[in-house]
Amino acid sequence: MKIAIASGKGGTGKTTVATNLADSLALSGMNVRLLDCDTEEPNVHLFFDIEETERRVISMPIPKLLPEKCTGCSICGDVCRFSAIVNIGKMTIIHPGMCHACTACWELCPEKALEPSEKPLGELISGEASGIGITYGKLDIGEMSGNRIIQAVKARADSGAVNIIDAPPGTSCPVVETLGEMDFVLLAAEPTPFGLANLRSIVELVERLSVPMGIVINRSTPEEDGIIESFADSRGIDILGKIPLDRRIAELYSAGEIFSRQMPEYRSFFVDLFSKIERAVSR
Amino acid sequence: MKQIVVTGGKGGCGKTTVAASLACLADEWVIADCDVDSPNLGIIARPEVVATRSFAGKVFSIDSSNCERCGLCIRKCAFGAIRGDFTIDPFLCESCGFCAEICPAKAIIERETEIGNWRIANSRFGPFLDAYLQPGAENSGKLVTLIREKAIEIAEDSRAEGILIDGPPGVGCPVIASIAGADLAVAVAEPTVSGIHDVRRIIELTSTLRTPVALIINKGDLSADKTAEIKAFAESAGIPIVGELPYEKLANKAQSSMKTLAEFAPNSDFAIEMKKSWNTIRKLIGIEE
Repeated sequence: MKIAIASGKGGTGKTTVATNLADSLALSGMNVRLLDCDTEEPNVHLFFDIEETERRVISMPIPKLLPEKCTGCSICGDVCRFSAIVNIGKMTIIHPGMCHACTACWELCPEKALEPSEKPLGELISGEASGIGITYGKLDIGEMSGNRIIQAVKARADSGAVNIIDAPPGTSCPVVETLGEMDFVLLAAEPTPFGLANLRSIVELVERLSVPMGIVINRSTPEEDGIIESFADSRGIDILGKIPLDRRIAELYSAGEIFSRQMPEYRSFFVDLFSKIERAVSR
Repeated sequence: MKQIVVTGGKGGCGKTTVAASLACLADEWVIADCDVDSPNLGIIARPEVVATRSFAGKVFSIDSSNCERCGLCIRKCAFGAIRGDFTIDPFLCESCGFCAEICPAKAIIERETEIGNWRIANSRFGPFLDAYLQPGAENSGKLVTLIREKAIEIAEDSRAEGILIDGPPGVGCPVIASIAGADLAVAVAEPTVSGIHDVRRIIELTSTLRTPVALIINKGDLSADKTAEIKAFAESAGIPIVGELPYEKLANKAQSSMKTLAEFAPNSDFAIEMKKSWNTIRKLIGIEE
């Protein structure tokens, strides 16, 4: 099973939920994999003492010019929609940062003056900690998009395990890349006006992807929760659990601790959360 | 005319809280919310919208009456966006147009469609711009660049002192578009292991982009150790710290009443520290002695 933890807004507790859920399930004897798809700011690995088993470079093909073959016909610049190739007179200039690796330029060059060459984008790192198989990706600074790294991280899912996937914040392309082919999306929501606004966006996206979803309210307080509850009710989305606004949880997070290890009363909360997800998926 | 961008890498570290508080202090600055996924500054600024403009993107579809089902597009699409039934998955398609270029039957049609919008408004903080990109749409960096260009035009027309930008989380394309060319990036640093990890990556990015950077610590009293770690790191890297904001439990209450913390609790330590930070920022960008 593949469960993604997502949220329209950053900082609502995706990583807290993902790490505590994975840890509680592993402690209860389940086979768990934890995949961090937030390649721009991966944080899951900071909460574990990982014994690394794999580290490899993820790259993408970009065009390389063979100047002796180029006649300056400018077809490559005409077909590139991303301004990654500019033709000035007979000169062909490539901006690797803009390239999406669509392959159009080298496929359509009549002189075969462009050929694909691999450009590193970032890294994929795998390892094990506390009986959990962990994989995360790290986008190189200055690179535009981690989508290819996300694909590689997702490929580490194990069909025989419970796979917990920490998604990037927001609703743009890396989130869409992450949420494809999930069995369930668990939304971490914060009971504030910002939290509600961004929850709306991610719900709209998950509805379009037709994946079942549920909500966990983080930093929950009885006075503030209504803002999320009435929205969830109006959309027919179940609230599967609440994590209270508690300075101790914030302090443990701050120190890089998985809070349910220090507050073991929460382990059953996360195991229970998983049972609710399982039931929703089998429905 | 100066450009300041509030950034920080990590989502939820307090970018919009800090940006709104600065907006409140920055008289007659132009305010631009460049987090096009989660444009939240408007919730606090409550702008009176003057104009809403459409942001268009290219969408491709296959005209089934002309399609000869040769399968060339399926084989050649680098994104696996063309399904076996000769329809295009809008989420996987990156609008490169290669399929339309090579289709022997010319059955792939390109059209423009609205994928987002942007707004020009007046707010109690001054002229205000924000934008919204539809979930899953491409080109967030382009929309950020567009908002910044419009903000510059407005700032020049109104002879504003500068533009204050609320940036998106992460280090990818919209973040690069929000930071490149600014006079100062103010990175919000949260004293948590994740916060420190993420702000270090933002600093790496600002140095790649050659944008001067300063830190503002948020929720400083959450962890004395981690705050000390941020300070030591900033000192060794020669990065100024413009302020140290306390963990303010009124933050959510202020947000619920759609006010900045400084408006909601003007005598709070947060509000006082924010004022000092703004003065330090003004000195850093050279508009005050």
